[in-house]
Amino acid sequence: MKTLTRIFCFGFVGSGIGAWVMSAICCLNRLNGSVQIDAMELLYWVAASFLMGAVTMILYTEKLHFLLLTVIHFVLCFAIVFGAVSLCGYADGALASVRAMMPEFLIIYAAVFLVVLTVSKLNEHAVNKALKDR
Amino acid sequence: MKLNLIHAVQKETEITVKGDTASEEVQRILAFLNADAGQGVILLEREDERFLFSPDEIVYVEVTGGKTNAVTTQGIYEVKEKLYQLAASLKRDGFIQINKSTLVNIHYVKSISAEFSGNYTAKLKDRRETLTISRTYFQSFKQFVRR
Repeated sequence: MKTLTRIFCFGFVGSGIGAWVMSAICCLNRLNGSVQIDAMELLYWVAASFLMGAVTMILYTEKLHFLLLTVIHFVLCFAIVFGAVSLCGYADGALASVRAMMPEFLIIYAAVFLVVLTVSKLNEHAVNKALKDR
Repeated sequence: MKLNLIHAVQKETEITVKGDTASEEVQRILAFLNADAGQGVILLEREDERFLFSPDEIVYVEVTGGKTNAVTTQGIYEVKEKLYQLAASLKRDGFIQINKSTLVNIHYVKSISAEFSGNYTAKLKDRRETLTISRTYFQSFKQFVRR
């Protein structure tokens, strides 16, 4: 029950973040006169955002190395987005989808990993200073 | 329980507990004294012998193989209380939980270093061993150190 509650909490946070992204895309589409997304597309992306939020739970696992967890998160989120892209029919074939998505995914994950490492180093510095001052 | 109060003119108040030191009653008294004074005593065991230690002398407490062990400046002793009970009673003495099975006395932490795994390693003063601060417990550790 506790795990299920956690899955739903993380899932809804994911949907919430996804809703902002979808809203931004809708606004951009309206501004540049592109085709607006339909209700089914919206549903697929809300579901994908929920799943990505739920998948984020694995980053809180202590048993595995953080780099490995990041890789697992990458693979799972990539598969979810690939599924949503396929359902929405955005790309011509699976290979084209992968080619289009991979660079963005690699950049986002590399950036996030670097931020996490930088924050860890800053935390180390702050705690060591506090320990020294005690 | 028999209670003797003896008036004496001395600087420091002295408390002597006479009886089965492993009994629940004595444990309750110790817990009360610890909670009240913040710097109390803790009952540790080694080879069927019981010893009273000041929390100052305990470097860290670790659960290994289902047993709770206190690593002190004078060696390793067993503790009867559970880790979560110790975490609550020793908080005021500078103890903080750093992973699922370890409490550390902050006064013995020399420095920490961030690991690539996302965890942190704590180096201890005058000791060779290091302890792992897990990601889950790091924020509370950081707040505890900086308060």
